[in-house]
Amino acid sequence: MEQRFNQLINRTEAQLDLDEELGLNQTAQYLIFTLGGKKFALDILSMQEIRRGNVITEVPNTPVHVAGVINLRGLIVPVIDLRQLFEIKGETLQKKPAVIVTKTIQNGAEKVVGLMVDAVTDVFKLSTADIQELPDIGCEIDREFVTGVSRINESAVICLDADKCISSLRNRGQVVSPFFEVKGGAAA
Amino acid sequence: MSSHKYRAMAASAVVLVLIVALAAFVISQLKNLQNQVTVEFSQLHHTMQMLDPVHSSLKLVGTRLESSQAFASDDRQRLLQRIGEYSDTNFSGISTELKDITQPLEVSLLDLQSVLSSPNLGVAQIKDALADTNAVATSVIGQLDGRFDQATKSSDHVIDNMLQAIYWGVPPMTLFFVILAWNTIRLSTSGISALTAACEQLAKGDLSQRDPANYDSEIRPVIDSINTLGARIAEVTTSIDHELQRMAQGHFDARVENRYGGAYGTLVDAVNRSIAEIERIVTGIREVAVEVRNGATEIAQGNIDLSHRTEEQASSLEETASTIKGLSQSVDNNATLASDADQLAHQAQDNAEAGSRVLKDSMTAMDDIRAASDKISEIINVINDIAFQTNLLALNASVEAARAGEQGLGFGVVANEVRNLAQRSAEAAKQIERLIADTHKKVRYGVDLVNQSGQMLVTIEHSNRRVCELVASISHSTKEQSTGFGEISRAIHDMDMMTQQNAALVEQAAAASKTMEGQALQLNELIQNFGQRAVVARVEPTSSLMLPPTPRKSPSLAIPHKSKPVVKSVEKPKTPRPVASTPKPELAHPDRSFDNMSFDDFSAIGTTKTHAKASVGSSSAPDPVRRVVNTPLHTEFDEDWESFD
Repeated sequence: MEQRFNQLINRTEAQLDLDEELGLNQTAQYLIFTLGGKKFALDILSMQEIRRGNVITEVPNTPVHVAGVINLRGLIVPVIDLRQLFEIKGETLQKKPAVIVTKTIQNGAEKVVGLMVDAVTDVFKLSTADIQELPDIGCEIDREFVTGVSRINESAVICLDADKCISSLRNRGQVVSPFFEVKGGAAA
Repeated sequence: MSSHKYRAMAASAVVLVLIVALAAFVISQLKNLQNQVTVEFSQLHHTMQMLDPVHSSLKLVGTRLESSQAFASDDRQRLLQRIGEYSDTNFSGISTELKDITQPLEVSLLDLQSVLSSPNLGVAQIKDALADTNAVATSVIGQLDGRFDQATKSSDHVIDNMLQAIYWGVPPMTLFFVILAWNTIRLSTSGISALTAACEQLAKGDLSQRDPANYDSEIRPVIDSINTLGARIAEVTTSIDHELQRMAQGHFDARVENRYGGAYGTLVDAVNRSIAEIERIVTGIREVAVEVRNGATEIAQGNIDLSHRTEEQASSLEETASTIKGLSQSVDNNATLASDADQLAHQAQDNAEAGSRVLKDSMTAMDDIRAASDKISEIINVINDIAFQTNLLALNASVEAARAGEQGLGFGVVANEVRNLAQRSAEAAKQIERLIADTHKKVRYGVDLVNQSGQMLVTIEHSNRRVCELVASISHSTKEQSTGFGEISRAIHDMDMMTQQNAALVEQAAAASKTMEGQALQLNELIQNFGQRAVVARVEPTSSLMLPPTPRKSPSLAIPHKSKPVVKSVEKPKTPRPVASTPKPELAHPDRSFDNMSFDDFSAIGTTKTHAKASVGSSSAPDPVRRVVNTPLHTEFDEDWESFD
C-alpha cells in the first residue's frame, strides 16, 4: 500500500510541476498540523488565527468531540476536539494543545469555531493539482471531512475541509453553539 | 734373812713394848686419879654448896640477934625457908661417908626448925638453938675441909708416880731408837748410792750398765731387779729397733714377734700396729699416687682441649664482634632510612591533605558548574519558549499574510523566514538543552568521582597517618636496636677480652697441669720404689697398681658437644703448643701470675723425696736413750717385781 502511495505521490509531484508550467494550477497555502503523529493540512484562508495556551472551559451536556469553549478577546468560541472527532487513539504529546481558530461564512453569517489539534507545525503552499482524492483504503477518518491527500517532503498529508469539520457540530445533530442551540439528537 | 734384820726388828719390838707399858701405867694412874679426885671433889663441892646458904643465914640471924636483941619474924621466916630448902635437897649422889659427916647437922637443923616453929619463943632460947646449930655447922664444915685436904694429897701422890715412870722410861727408849736408826742408815747408804748411779745410767739410756754385785746387803734384791729391768728394756728396744730398721728398708712385713707382758706388750703391739698402719698407708699412697698421675694426665689433656676450645671461642667471638659491627652499621643505616621514610611519610601526609583541600575546591567548582548549567537550562527553556512563541507568531503572521492575498505575499515570506529562524533557534535550544543535560550528567558523575576520590584521599590520609606512626615506631625501635647493638658490641668486646684472658689463663693452666703430671709421675715412681719390696714380699701385687698407669678417659673430662674433634686433636702428636715452651716442673716460677699455691705444692712434691730419705736415715739410726726415756715406766710390772721376796 505504501508503495502505491509513494507512486501516487511521485505522479502528483510531476503533474504539479507540469500544471504550474502550464499555468493551469491555482496554488493555495495550507497550514500543517499533527494529530496523533499524523500530519493534516487545512486551507489557510479558512482560519483566523492560531491560539495556544488558552484555557478551554468544558461545557456540560455536549458531544464528546466538543472540547469546550475559549475566551477569544471577549468572544466565546466553541472548540472541537479533532482527535475525538476523527477518533484518533493515543495520548496527545503536547501539554498545551493548540487551537486553530477558523472563520467561515455559512449561510451568510460568519462563524468562528476553534479546532483543537496536537501541534501546528508548518505553512505550506500547495497547488490544487497536488491534492488528490483519497483512495479507498479503509481510512480511519470519515471521508466526509477529507478533501484529499497531498505530499510534503516525502510524507503524506491529509487535507481537511474546514467547513465540513465545523459543520460537524450541526450535521451530527449537535449544537452549533452550545449556549444557544441544544438538540436532543446530540444526546442520542 | 740376816741377823741384821732380826736385830732391827727385836729392837723395834722392845721399844714398842716399853711404850705400851708406860702408856698403860700412865693410863691406869690417870684413871685412879680421876676416880679419886673428880668424884670426891664433886660431892664435896655439892655438899658445900648446900651448906653454905644455911650457914650464912644462921650467921646473919645470929649477928642480928646479938645486935638488936630482937628476933624479926621475917628473919625467922627466911631461916625456916632456908632450912626447908636444905632438908628438901636430895643427897642421893653423895657417898655414905659424907652423909655420915652431915648427919649431925641435919639433926640439929630439925631441932632448930622445931624450935623456930613453936610460937612465943624467947630470944634467949632462939639464941641458944642458933648457937648449937651454928656450932654443929661449923664442925661439919671443918670435917668437910679435912676431907678436901686428904683428897688433894692422894692426887698429888698419883701424879708423882706418873712423873717418875716417865722420867725413868723415856730416855732409855730414845737412846735405843737412835742406835737402831743409825745402824739402818749406815747399812743402806753405801749400796743405794751405787744403785742410784746405775739407775741414772739406765735412765740416760745406757742399758749395758749393770750394778756390780759386790754388795751383800739388804738392797741386793733391789740391785738385782734393777739389773733385770735394764736387761728387759734392752731386749725390747733392740727387737723393736730391729723391726723398725727392717721397715725403713721397705720390709713392711717386719713385726716384733716376741711376746712381752704389761707395758712392753702394749708398746710392742703399738709398734706392730704402727708398722701395719704405715704399710696400709704406703699402699694407699701408692694407689693414690697412680690415681693422681692419671688424674694429672687427664687434667693436662683436658687443659689442652680447653685451651684449643678457648682459642676457637676467641676466634668465633671476634667473628661475632665483626658481624655485630656490620649489623650495627646496617641498623644505623636502617635508622637513617627509617627517619627518611618518616619524613617522606610526613610529606605524603601533607600532600594528601593538600589533595584533599584541592578536591574540596573541585567539589565546590563542580557544584558551581552544576548551578551554572541549571541556570543555563532555565535560560534555554526561556529561549525555547520564545522560539515557540515566535513560531506561533510567525504562523499567525503567515495566516494574516495569506488572508491579505497578493499584498500579503512579502509579509508571508518574511513570516516564513521568521518561522524558520524560530524553528532553528528552537532546534539550537534543544541541542543546547541536550548538551546541558549531558553536561549535567557528567558533572554529577564528576561530583561522584570527586566524592569517591575525596573518600579515597581520606583513606589515603588515614593509611598515611598509620604509615607515619609505623615508620615512627620503626625509627624508634631501630634507634633502640642501634643502642642495643652498641651494648651488645661492648658486651662482646668485653667477652672477647675475657676470653683472651681466659685463653692466656688456660694456657698457663695447661702448662701447670703438664708440670703437675710430671710431678705426679715422679711421686708415683718414688712411692713404687718405696713400697715395692714389701709388696713383693708380702702382698700379691695387684697388676693394675704395678703396671704403668694407662691414660683413662674419664667422662667428666670428655667434652660433650665437640668431643670428637677435641679428642682427635689431643691424640694427635704433640703440636708445638705454648705449653711446650713453659718451664719444666722443677723450674716452676713462683712469680707466675696465677696459682702460686699450686706451684708451691708442686715444688713441695719435689722436696718430699729428700724428706723421705731424711726420715729413713733417721729411723735407721735410732736413739736408744730417747726411746727408753720416752717409754712410759708403768708401775704395773708386778710380775717382774714378785721375785723381791
